[in-house]
Amino acid sequence: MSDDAALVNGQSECALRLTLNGAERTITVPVERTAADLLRDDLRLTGTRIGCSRGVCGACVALVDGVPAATCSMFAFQLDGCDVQTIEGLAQEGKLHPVQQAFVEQGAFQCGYCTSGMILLTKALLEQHPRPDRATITEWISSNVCRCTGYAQIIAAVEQAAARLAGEEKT
Amino acid sequence: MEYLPTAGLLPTSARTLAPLRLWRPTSIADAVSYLDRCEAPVLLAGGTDLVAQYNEGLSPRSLIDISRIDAMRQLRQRDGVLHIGALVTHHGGSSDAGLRALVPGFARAWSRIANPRIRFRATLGGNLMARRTRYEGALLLQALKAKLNFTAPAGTHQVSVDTLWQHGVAGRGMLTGIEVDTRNLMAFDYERSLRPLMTQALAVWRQPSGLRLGLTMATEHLSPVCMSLTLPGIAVSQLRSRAAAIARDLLTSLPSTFADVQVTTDYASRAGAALMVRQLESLHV
Repeated sequence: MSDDAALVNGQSECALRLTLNGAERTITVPVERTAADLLRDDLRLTGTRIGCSRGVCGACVALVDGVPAATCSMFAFQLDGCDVQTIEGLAQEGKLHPVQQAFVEQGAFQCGYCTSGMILLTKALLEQHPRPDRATITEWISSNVCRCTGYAQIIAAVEQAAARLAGEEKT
Repeated sequence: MEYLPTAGLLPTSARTLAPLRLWRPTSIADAVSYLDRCEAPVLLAGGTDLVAQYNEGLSPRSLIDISRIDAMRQLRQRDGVLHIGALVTHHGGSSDAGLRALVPGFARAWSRIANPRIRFRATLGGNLMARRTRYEGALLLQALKAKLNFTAPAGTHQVSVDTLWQHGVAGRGMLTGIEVDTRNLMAFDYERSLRPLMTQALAVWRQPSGLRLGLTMATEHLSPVCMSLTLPGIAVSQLRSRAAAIARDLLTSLPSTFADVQVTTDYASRAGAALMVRQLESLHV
């Protein structure tokens, strides 16, 4: 067994260092702490919602190194060394991110419980596919669950955000 | 968190998991060692299934995070044999240029497992070891006659996907990788348009005397079953014109036990034949 492994193994707590919404953080957490509980309870970033608690609904999505991840199904220690973005970190200087703005303008929510996860999912989608076709949007949005809107407005918001970010939207 | 009880809200941490000790091996040997000697261990790879298992009653005392074992992240091929590390994610594997060139049908099928969010984190090894009938990795790999490489304290051994399904995981150690011999594989196609009712994978293998077709079928509740048909003296170009007869002949070997709450054997046979005709008619060789 390697010396390095012997030094860090068997611990019941982890000190993790991460970049959270652009700021460096060092936090000590119990091994069994989920990432969602760390964000919500310890850091009070309650825009991360708990829905199904098994990684299905996507209400708890945060972007981890730019990729959407269900934080209810991650341990907090897995965020060590990662760049984490929650919904609280999206608006800059009081101005909504174009994806957030598109969700507002398209009325892409009713109860709003899924909205933060949907917006972060959309941000990741548009970073990977700046001008996604409808099939790609549908496939990505199917990662998360919305029980209010029927998805039509969400898809419209994604299309609007994509056009706006690409500078193609007529004003 | 003091404001939560005051507001009458239950903090989510009230659901906190039982205390765990963490082990973070960077080698297969270390991981197997921990697996052998830790109290009530569980392996953490992509982690997308583990919390679901918690919700189903899993209560480990030791968490072995194998995500740092680089040797299990590799996907390579040598002389037509694919070696897929157990930690290769659905996204990483299905978008690998080498895999897409070697077995495009498998790459297409793999890219459709789960949803984009899950695909970034979930691993092929985790998909297999979860042994859930609704997960599709086992069906695809069984259709490809994959061999699963395990490492245990006593050494390494290789088993088929079917053996894993039939006899479980106990005593096998840790799944480290998957091998797929593609040298005689001529075409592969996965049909999931009837999911979750049923899905099926078609593999066409070259044989000295002709072709061998393998059809692997599963449902939301049934583990994969494999059927095969040898076609002596037939070329791939002839499959399209004979698709209906071939599908009918092959589906006659569907076991009568292949039925669940949603799918009867007769339905699976008829629908499977119809899907197989479609697969044969659109086969990319």
